[in-house]
Amino acid sequence: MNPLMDKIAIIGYDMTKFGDLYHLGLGDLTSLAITGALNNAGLDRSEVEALYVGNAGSGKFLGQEHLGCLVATESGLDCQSFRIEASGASGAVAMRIASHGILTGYIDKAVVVGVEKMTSFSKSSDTQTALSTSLDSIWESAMGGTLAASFALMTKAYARKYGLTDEQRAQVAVKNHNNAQKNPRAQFKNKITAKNVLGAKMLADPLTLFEGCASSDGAAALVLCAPEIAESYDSEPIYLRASKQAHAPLALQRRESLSEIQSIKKAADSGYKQLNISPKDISIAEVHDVLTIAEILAIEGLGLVELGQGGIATIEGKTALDGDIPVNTSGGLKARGHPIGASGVAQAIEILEQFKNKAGDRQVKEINWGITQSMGGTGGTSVVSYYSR
Amino acid sequence: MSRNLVAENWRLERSRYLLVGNKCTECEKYYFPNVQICTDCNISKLDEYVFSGKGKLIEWTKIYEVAKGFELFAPLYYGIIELEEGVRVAAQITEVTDDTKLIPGIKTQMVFRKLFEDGSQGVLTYGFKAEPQI
Ligand SMILES: [Zn+2]
Repeated sequence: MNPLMDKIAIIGYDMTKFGDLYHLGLGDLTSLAITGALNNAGLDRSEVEALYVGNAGSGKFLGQEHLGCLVATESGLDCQSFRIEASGASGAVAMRIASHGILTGYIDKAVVVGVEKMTSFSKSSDTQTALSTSLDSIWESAMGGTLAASFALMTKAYARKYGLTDEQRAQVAVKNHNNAQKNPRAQFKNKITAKNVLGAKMLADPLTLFEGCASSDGAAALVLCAPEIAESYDSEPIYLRASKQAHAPLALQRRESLSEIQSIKKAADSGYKQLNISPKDISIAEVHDVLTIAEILAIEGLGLVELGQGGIATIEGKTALDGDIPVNTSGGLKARGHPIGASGVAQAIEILEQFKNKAGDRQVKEINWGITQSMGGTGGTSVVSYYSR
Repeated sequence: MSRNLVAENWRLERSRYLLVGNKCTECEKYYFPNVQICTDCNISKLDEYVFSGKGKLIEWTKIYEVAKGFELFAPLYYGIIELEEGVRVAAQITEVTDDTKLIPGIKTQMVFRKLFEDGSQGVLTYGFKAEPQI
């Protein structure tokens, strides 16, 4: 295989709104997103050869497993189906696995759907417990750790090493809420200030509730196909040019450094190398801002800003909609919403809408390369994907 | 938590209560928790090793929104400790009277405490926490 020539066409996409969707079950959400994506591509259900479902925690949140079959059934698909779990990276990994099926020639057309239904819990401690299962359950969670606590440790270690102000961190959330105001599907369209962010209830010192993501329901779907047949569905298809995945130890205490997420850089560097491009070629990025600090670590890991400069770049507006490198034009996980398994797929949809000039008031001009970065837990799994015309 | 805590507590008792890990007989690398295989050497010949519990603070936070079972301790101090053998563990930090004195590098000692309680199963889980030596 020639890595410069191998590519996957994305010929259809759709997603539900993200948020508290009490009236919709997991089967409803996926059926809506998948039907929308198939209609968008002009593909019949009978043409779908395989279904890849990215989902992080239906067992914990709903007591439901066997999701491949459930989603196929509810979406009216009669094809092989797979459920892929990699915590917050579930949707992104599902997209990679579907691509592998097409690249090998095993299938030509696939549907990828990411989904989560999280709002079923009423108690905060239940939600924290469910989120903590992305950590090492015995040697982090059972010791008292939470996802927010792990990111708090990274925040403090980073701040000691490079310097990082509360305002720089808060600006990630402020910017992403600004962008979400221009995104009709976003969960939170309200404007917030750094003062709101820093004055909110503390999750784990120094991170507050407004630096993290709320529980959310939603689904996002893509139709992928082999490039040879793409133009019969879409005259100007957008291509997934590479998608790279890298690993870091599951528990934070087993990593060499707390002030960076090594798996992001590993995945990103292998993609740049394969495509023979550099971070300077990237026009827009959607990153996994599960907490404010995560966006700062992500833009550094992707090489979009220098190591240690993520906070300064953010507060100077470099990553704003009108900045040098707009990051999370959708509003990101923070404000578009973060139904865990759906996020990796929703990131791809934002890049597609930007390429297709359908991003409305948040449209970025002149896009060469788009990039998405998704991760599981605290970055034990990272996926970085590259898109172009 | 839906996992079987009785079985888990039994399996992990020696690691959690006595800080028992192991050490590779080939490369002398320390492991905590203990492992069946040293993947660096690809051998299963490891000697049991009891960690002293002496260590130093690497980083810490104060958790306000705790997970289920930890409500009694909230807000709680939590951090990463490097044991003197070089192995790092995550643990609650106990006996903190003044958190301005929690500076990375300070000495810590692992002590035996109640870790959490699971109301649904009525199970109490004990294990180590880190006590700052200031
Ligand atoms: Zn060894």
